[in-house]
This record gives sequence, C-alpha cells and structure tokens, in this order.
Amino acid sequence: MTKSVWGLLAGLATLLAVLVTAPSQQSDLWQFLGRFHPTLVHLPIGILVVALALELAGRYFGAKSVLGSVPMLLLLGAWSAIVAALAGTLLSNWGGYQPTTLMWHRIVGLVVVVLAVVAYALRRQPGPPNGLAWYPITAALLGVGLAVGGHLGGTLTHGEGYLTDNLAPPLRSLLGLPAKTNLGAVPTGNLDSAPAYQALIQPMLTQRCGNCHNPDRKSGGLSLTNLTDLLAGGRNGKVIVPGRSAESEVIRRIWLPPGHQDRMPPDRTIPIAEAELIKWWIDQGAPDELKLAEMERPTAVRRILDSYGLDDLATGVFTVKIAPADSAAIASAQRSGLRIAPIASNSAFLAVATSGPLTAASLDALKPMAAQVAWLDLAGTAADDSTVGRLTILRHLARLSLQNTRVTDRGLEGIKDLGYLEYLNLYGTQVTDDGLSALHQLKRLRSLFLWGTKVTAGGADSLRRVLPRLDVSLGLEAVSDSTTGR
Amino acid sequence: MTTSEERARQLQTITRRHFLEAGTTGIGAAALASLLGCDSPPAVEVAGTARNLLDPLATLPPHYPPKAKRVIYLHMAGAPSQLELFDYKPVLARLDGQLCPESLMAGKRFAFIRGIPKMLGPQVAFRQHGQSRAWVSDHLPHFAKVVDEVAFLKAMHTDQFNHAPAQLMVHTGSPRIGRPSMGSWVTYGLGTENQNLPAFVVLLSGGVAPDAGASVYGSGFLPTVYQGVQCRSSGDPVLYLSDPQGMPRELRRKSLDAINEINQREHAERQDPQILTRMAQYEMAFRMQLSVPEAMDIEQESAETHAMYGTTPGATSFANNCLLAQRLAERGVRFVQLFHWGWDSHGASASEALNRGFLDRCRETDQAIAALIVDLKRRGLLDETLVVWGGEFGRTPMLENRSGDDNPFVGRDHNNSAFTMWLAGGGVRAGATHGETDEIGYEGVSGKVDVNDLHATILRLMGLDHERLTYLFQGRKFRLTDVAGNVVREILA
Repeated sequence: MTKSVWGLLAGLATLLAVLVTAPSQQSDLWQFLGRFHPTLVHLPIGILVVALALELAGRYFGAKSVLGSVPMLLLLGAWSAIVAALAGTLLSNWGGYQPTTLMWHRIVGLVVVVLAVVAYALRRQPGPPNGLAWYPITAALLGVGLAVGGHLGGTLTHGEGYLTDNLAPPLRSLLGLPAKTNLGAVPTGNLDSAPAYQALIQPMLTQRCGNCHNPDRKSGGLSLTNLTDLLAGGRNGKVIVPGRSAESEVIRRIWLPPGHQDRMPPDRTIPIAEAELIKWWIDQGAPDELKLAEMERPTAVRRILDSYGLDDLATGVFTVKIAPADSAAIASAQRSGLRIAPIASNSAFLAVATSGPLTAASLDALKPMAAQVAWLDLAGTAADDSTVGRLTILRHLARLSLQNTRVTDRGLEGIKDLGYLEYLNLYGTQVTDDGLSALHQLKRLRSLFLWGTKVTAGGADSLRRVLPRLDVSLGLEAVSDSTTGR
Repeated sequence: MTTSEERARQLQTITRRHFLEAGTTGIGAAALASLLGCDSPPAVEVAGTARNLLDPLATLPPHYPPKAKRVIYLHMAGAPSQLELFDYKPVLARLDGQLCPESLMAGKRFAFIRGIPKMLGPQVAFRQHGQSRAWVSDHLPHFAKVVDEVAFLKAMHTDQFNHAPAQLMVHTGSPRIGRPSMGSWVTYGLGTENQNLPAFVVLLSGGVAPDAGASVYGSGFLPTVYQGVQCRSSGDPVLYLSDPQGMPRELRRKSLDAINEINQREHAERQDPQILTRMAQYEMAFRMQLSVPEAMDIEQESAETHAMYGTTPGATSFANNCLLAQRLAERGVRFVQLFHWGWDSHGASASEALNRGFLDRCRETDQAIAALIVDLKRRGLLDETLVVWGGEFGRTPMLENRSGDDNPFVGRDHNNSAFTMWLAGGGVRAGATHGETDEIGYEGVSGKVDVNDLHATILRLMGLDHERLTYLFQGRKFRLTDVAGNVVREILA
C-alpha cells in the first residue's frame, strides 16, 4: 500500500465518522459548508468521468499515451468525492428534502466514494493496465454509480420528473411515464362544471411552486400542492388569508421585485395572468368547491380566462363535456341528405340542417351522434309530427327550428323531455294553445316563436306563467304597433 | 395539394432570410424534432374543420360556439348626430347660444369649425322609452318602440375625423386603404351558410356611395372571393350576372357543360386544382342567376310587410334594403352590409341641416329599422342575427356656422371623441347601455369603446377570437383588430 492509498482510506474514515456522528445540532457554519455540496459534487463527477473515458480511449481506441493520466485522475476524483460527500452529509441534515430519495442518494453517493477509492487502489501503477479482473468491474460500477447518484441528487434539488418533464411523448410512454399534464391540457369549455380551484388554481401552483413546496420536500416548511397544506402555511406562518389577497404572503412574494431575496419563485417569474387568477381566487375566499360559473368574475378575470381558451361565455349545453362523434357516422349521415358541421372548433357539438329533401332515413342516420347534436334546423322541410317524434333521442338539443313545417300539437309531445332546449321556433306551424302544455318541463327554454300559429295571447300568457323566464313571441303585438302607429 | 394562389402566396412570403434560416438551423432542427417526436401533437382532425383552399367559402367552425350566425350592419354614412338621436344632454340645452369656452377647443382639430363657435343645444325633444327607460329623440318614433331590443354604446370614439378614413377605420380597422373589410374577415373565418348566394352582400342607398368607395367592403389582401358583392334593388341585382339577349338558360347550360368538359380534360392532364375551383365558381354563378333575382324580388312580400317596412318595390331605398336584408338573412347570407348616405349635417345647406335633411334621413330609416328588428324577431332570426347601427364618428356639441349669422340651417361639425352606436340580436344584452359622455356629449367619460373594441366584440359574438383570426401577409400575421381590441363584455348577454 502506498501513501496515497492510506491517505484516501483516512479520508474515507473521516467521512464515515461524520456520517455516524452526524451533528444533530445544526450550526450556521455546518450549514454554510453543507451548501457547497451542489458545487463540489461536480468535481468528482467530472474528474471520474474523464478518467473512465481516457481508460476506454486507451484500451479500446489505441490512444495508449493517455493511459498514464488515469491513476492521477482517479486519485483526484476519489479525494474530491470524499470532500463532496462530507459537504453533502452536512447539507442532508439541514432538511427539507424528500426522505426516500435522500436515503438512496446518500447510499449511492457513499458507494461511489468507496468505488473511487478502490478503483484508484487497483490502478495506481503507472503504465498500461495489468489485466486485473477486478479493476474493469469496479470501473464499470463506478460509472453506473455516478449516473444514478447524480440523477438522484438532481431529483432532490429540482423535484421529481424535472428531467423527463419535457421528454418527447413517445419516449415518455416508452418509459412508462404518464402523459404530460400542464395548463394547456385543462379541458376547454368544461370549466363551468369543474371547480375553479381544482381545475385552474392548483395546477398553476403545482407547476410553478410544486418543485420545492410539496409534501415530500417542504421548503420553508411549506407545501403548496394541496389545499390543506396551502391553508396550513409554512414555518413563517400562514401564506393565504382567504378573502384578503393583499395580506396573503403568497401574493406579496410573487410581486416582489426581481432579485429580492424573498421573491417567489426565486429564479423565475409567474406570468401576470396566472398571478392575477391566484389573487382573484384568494379574494373570492379561496373556495374549494365553487365552480367558475358560480364565482364573481370581474372583466379582467374573464379576459384572462378567455385567453386560456376557456370559453367563459359558454352557457347551457355548451358547458357539458362530451366525446366527439364518430367521423365515419357523420360522413354517412351527410350522404343521407344532412348538412352537419361542428358548432365550434373547441366543441364536440354539432349543428345539423338539411341539404336535400328530409327523409326518415336521414333522421335515423343521426342516431350514432344523438348526444352531439345541439342545433337542428328543419325549417321549411317536410317535417311533421312523426319526424318530431324521432327527435326524443337528441337529449342535448339546444336549438330546434321547425318553422314553416306541418308540425302540430301532437308533434310537440316528442320534445317535451329535451331539457337543454333553449330556442324553439314554431312560427308558421299548426300549433295551438293546447300543444303548449308539452313545453312545461322545458325549464331552460328562453325563446319561443309562434307567429302565424293558432296560439292566442291567452295561451301564450298561461305558458309565461309556468315558464317566467321564457320569451314568447307571437309577432302580433309588434306588427300592429308598426302599421297602426304614426 | 396546393393551388396556384397558395403557391403564389408562398413565393411572396419567402425571402433571402428564409433561405439562410432553412439552410443553417432549419433543416437540422426539423430533422431532430421529427426524430424525437417533439413537435406538438397534431390536432384531432374533424371533417369540415380545416380550411380547404379549393373551396374557399366552405363553412368553417368558429373558435367558440357562436351567439350570432350572421350580421346585418347598418352604416349611416356621413356620421349622424348622436345629440339629436340617443345622447340626451339637458345641460347642453341650457348652454345653447353661449360661446364655447376656449378650454374645450384646446388641442382639438375640427374639419370645418374655425375660431370660437357657439354651443348648440339638442334640436329635438327626448323621451324615455321601454322597460330600459332609454332616452330616444322624437325623431325616431318607431325605433323607440323596439328600444328594449338593443344595447347602446354611448362612448364610442375613433381617431379619424374625416369621412373616408373614418369609414375605412370602422369597416376595415385601419384608416388607410388595403385592409380587408369586416365582412370579408367574417366570410374568410366562417365561410358561407348557403350554396346559391354570395356570403357577403352590400346594399347601397341614399344616392351617393360611401366616401371611402368600395374599399369599405373590399377584401383587401384577402383572396378576392371574400369581398362584398354589391346587389342593386332595381334592374339586375348583380351586374353582368344575367344572360345576354339571345342566350336562353338552356343554351347557357350547354355552353357551361362544354366549358366544363374542356376544363375536366385540362385538369386530367395538368392536375391543377385551381381548374376545379374555377369550375365550381362557374356553377355557382349559374345557380345565382336564379337564386339572386328570387332573393332580391320583394314584390312577393305581402302588403302587410310592405306597410310595416314602408317599402316601394322597384325603388332604391333604405327601406327596401332593410327588407332585403331580412330576406338575405333568412336565406343564410353571412354578412349584409347596408350603407345609407346623407347624414353629414354641417348646416351649410338644406340637405345637410339638422333641421332639414337630417329629418329626412330619420324618416327614411326609422320605420324600416324598427320593422327589420320586429320582422327578424318574429321569425326567430334576431336570436342568431347581430344587427349593428352606427356612423363613422359623432358630431360636436358646438354649432358649425360656415355661412354667417343669417344661415337658416343648423349644423354640427365632426367629432371623433364621442358617438353612439347600438347593437341588437344574437348574444347582445338587450336593454343595456354601456358608456357615458360628459354633460355636453363632447367626450366619453366612462365605458369608452373604440373601433377595434367594437370589431373584437362583433367577432366574439360570431364565435371568433379576434386574436386568432389572422392572415399571413407581407411577412406577418394581420388581424381585423391588428394589435388592439378588447371585447366589450358589458353588452354581452
């Protein structure tokens, strides 16, 4: 054994001693030194990787001249590993790291130190390798250990998934990782039915703050990845005062100037729109269950929501989330004389009109997309009571145009359960007062057009009494005004 | 497949910069991205959602479920006085005849007023109407009855104070020639809803075309298929559309078939998809020869309807155009643009005096506009049709008097700082009033809305996000609202 090996073993012994006696009372000095770990740790990684690379180059690629440097590099690498591990030990006691990952990082780190020392001991002779079987195995294990230990260290600092967050989707699925979730993946058009906190605010907090403030790694004793932790606050007290954003530490820190030591996140900036939404949610009392539609939304907030592609103006059936209809079924329905088009590019709902004569077959072709048809225009077609009878399956129908058809009171029975119906146009049909009772259950109905039917003013009034929010238009009052006016 | 139009566009936009970019980083980055599968996943393809360059007028879905499927835009060219129609200012009545304080003139530029003018009180009585208790002047007795259907924008403003640039501003979003009009943008964004009529129809009345000319309904840098088609209410509705004498429809059909056959052969040989587009347009014109005269023929309407609108078949009048607008809306025309000239009430002559010509303009339009709203409403069309009324700017609370003290005519100068517009129909909060002007109606003091905001709002009601409706031209994306515009949510239902 040479002096250098004894020296290394002494260093290793010191490291083990510090590990075992791990000073429980943290002094500022220890913490100060411990924080050099992330810097120092790059030395053994870099030096040992170069040593292994030169070894490979010399052995397998004919660069014999570089082999002489390997022992010296291994020695330097082993020493720097010991120093980095010492600092790491001090840092790990300072706390705030995810315990399981930390445990594995310490084990692997220690193994790397030991392997580096062993590798040097086996390879200290200058000149070409002497063919010892133990040496290649040690070197290979050292390489693996560096990669694993380094990755675990990165995970501790930056959080789980830091490395793979932006990995290409095919490779993600290859690694068995779930599909990436971010704000862009918030289901659009659906926000009125999802609680604002869960669908909007928490994803923002998790994405912007979750790396350091999660239940596993509570920086400052604070976790921001669920509402309970959020309201509980951290080591310095509460961070959210529901209803009072101005007194909430979260908001204060977001708006501190760049470079201020208390600013959060320390190294990045939360987009103004997100900061505004978080502030708004706190001002609304930091509600857990309230849906977007149930909360008061100032114009500024509505604009932000709109810019996220969340259709804040969506009402009625458009707040329902449904899967798109089968495109082959749509194509076949189009061939049967129907004009079918998506109502909007952010919606699976369909608008249907006729492009030729209406037949029973064309209505049957709508069956595979019964849940998606929201608007149906049969105005001026041969539609009659039996046609309307087939519409009962269109449970999401919101607009129905039957004007100038042969529909009578009997036909209206077919639509009496279409609970999403908002607009019903029956002008120029045979409908009478008696038929209107079929509409009594249509609580969402807002516009009903009865010009040119046999419905009387009295009949319209009694319907208005049942459905006070319904605008019944007979067309008569306005006409007489204009013609007999001035 | 690319059309030659698309190819031409591509060539226009490729510059030396592109060559350098593609030659250095472009190819490598593209290859790497495709290797790693890093580019964003392709959007789900739904039939009928992608733009088909061969069928430029095919229906396209908007960004959001629309509140209005179509627009009837009533432009009062010349800029009507808000102070004699909707913006009731009792304080101005008390100040009538007094000299305007100099502070009100500081920093202002007027088209005609020179020196210190006198203040001019409202030239008509105002009353509150409907459940909304909105103020409407006695000049509009018919409109007063439908006032609950509309939402007022009382503090509109624009940065142009002369007619032509201000009209371009209102219709294209820019005071200079070359931008597409609102109707063109909407047609480009949504396509047509009917197969036999133009998607964007323009109807003129008042005897004079708008100062800014056809540019206010032109397609600018958009493909020309999106420009407004002017239809006349007497004679041939569309010029050069009908067959010439001695060309019966059957012969026309035969010659079209022959042309089609030649074009088919040409297409089989050259595979240029532009040929198919051309064939489709010939067929469209052939169908329009029947459908346009049918749509434009108001003689079929009942006597009751004519009485309601105050229409005279065969004449060129604003009333006729309102009835036509209703007929075109019912037939699925996307954008109907009406212009009525003669609102430029300077008081320099009888025809442009608040106490003469202005009254005639009110009489020509009042009943027809009210009838249009009533008619659309009873047919269930108002629910899905957006009706917009307005001029290109407003008028001053000061008297303009170019002709001296013995001028029997009363008039006001241009005022770009305050004017009133109203919207009615699909998605509009009926009965609402947004914005307020100062106590003399000179400038907006709250709820100010500019032209870009109006455009953003109109597009939003049609389900279009004004920031996403873009067209690549001269190396950058253009919008109707260019780099401005906020949706006026206060008037949305």
